[in-house]
Amino acid sequence: MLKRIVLIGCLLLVLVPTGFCREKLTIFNYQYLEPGFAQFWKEIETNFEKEYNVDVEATAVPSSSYYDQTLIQLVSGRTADIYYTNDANLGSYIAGGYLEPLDKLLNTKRYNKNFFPTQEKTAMVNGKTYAIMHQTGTWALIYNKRMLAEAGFTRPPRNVEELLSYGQKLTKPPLQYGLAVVDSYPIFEEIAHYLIGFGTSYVVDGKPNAMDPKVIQAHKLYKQIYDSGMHPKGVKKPVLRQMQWEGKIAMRFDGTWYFGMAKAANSKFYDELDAAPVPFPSGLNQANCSGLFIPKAAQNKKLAAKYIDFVNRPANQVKFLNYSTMLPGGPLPEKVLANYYQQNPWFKVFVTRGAYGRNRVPDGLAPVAAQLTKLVENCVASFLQGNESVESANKKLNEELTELLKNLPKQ
Amino acid sequence: MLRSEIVKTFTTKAFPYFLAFPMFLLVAIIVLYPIAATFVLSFQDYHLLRLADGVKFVGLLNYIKTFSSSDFWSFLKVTLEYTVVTTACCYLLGLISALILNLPIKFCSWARLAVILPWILPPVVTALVWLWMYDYQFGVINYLLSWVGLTPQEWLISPRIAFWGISLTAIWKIFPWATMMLLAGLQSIPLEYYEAAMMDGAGRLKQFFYVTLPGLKPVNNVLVVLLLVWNLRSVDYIYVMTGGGPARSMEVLALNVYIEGFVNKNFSYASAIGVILLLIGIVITLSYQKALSKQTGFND
Repeated sequence: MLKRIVLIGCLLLVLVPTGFCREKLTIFNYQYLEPGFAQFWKEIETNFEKEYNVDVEATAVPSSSYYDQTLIQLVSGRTADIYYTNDANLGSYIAGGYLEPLDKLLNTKRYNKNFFPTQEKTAMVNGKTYAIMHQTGTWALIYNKRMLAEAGFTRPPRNVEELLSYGQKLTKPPLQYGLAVVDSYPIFEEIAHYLIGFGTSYVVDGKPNAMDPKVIQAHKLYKQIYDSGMHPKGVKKPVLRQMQWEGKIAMRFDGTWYFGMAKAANSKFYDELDAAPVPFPSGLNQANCSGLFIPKAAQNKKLAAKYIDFVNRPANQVKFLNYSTMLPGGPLPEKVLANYYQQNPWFKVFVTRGAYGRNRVPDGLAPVAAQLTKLVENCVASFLQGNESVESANKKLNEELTELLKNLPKQ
Repeated sequence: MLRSEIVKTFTTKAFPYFLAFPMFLLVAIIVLYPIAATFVLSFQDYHLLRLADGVKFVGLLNYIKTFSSSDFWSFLKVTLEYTVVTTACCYLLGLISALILNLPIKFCSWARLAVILPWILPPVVTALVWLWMYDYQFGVINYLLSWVGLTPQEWLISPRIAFWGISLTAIWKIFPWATMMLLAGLQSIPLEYYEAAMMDGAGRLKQFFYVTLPGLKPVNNVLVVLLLVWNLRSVDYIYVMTGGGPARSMEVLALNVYIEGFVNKNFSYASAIGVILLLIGIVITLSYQKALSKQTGFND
């Protein structure tokens, strides 16, 4: 009997340090499947496990079904400990009451004070912080320097007229297209460049604004590009991205992450890519942020909070920049930035344009961002591919926005 | 004596029900309960973003909202058009190929295998393959069209053409199953009936209408109902190929239920549309059964 007790005791002494009884942190994050991001998250996972002597179990699904799956898990109450989200969906999760406020788990004041303004604007509701937005994205015009030079252009376009004339001259179908737009999912993300570029929005001061002349002008410009032949019709966004890094599209709007994708795809044309400010009259461009949250139903909230702090350590933020080519949520040392600019000159445009960044979801509509996205997509599709005129499609959108605003959930 | 009578009554009358009870319970849990829950939900206001306000009973409000929406009638129209077109084409194509495969021709078994191949592919794989074939820029169909001097078509971009593009995909996938069912039906028709018809002077066409079609009535009863129900609730090809586009032209009711529930988070409104779709399916099925009961088969 004594021998058995001693044996069990020895077994426990061996098994406990080796992780048999280790705490477990579960993560749900689609970026584990994305080039560039996957390497970052894997490294974070390994280092976090070592430092805290815990097990991290990450699950990923493709981004196309990620947010549906996240919502199902949140509503069912069977959740992981940590989720990744973009700002477009965060609002609806907060409004649904599914998220744990982080103020008692983390020093949220530090993040709210030091991070980009998008942190407070997006993740703070009624004085409580619900997520830490560790990554910021701005959009710019991404163009192929060689293609522009071969067409006789010494610089990127600076206004709408130049954008259109460059696009026409650079179009030689079917091998080369001058300016690509998106004509299927995700249309809202794409048309937002035009709306923000014209200094307008679908909802202003809580009122539907789809009949604003600037919104109509933005929509008409989009249709003009779609019908002009300089855009490869019917091609989905992932293929448009691939076409650009294969040297088949001269100009497109995209974010910093595009350079990471092109590099990860070993693009032969990577060195020919550069970025320029969005050439629209308002001087503004789209910006968003993404981050991590802890659901109310999480099993291991304290460990999850430590994980969030770990991800946002300055050294890990620099790693994030290097792997993903995206701006971290917090400020970077000047020396690090200067070194990065030297290796990646295109990055400076995105950093400087950060101050001119605007979210595509109007203020106050974060809880219904998914519905707004669908309404906008329906509107744009109806005048791009359907028989509706821009004015008629926008009128219908205005009516739908009125209905949407009437039923906004209370926060 | 009394005890043996009780045992006898139990074994002859009650025991069969006792044996069937577990299956009935399973069907009740996985079929009847969700239908009942959906029905109840359709009379409530259950919105995922307004759960904090509580779930209220709203009576027929969701149904009134559905019927007064112009979009609903467009979705209903395309749903019925898609259902009728794909069902009719699957049946006709299935009948033609079954008649051909029933002939005593060489390599018949190889031909049957070739016909069944589309049926073996998973629906999503089928939709993805056809999606690429239809691609305006890179698709093989437009490549072949331009090769023979014809204009490439906007297969899944134009609302008018997308209907036929998606329907063709569904028909290509489903008609082999109709072929196999009808082939089995054809082979069950006694040859003596054809001989008797020939002796009465009936040509091939008359034999088809007076022997073959009545002989296929038992198969038709099942086949057409299943085709109608499958195509009525079909979402996979449409969702994968266009997501209900272009410009919502292919947004059938089943897809609308998904969008209202999971995109717009309005579960009670989605439930109301789901109940309406269920009732439409029941009406179509019963109407077809009634129409078919008026026709005579061999055993009528």
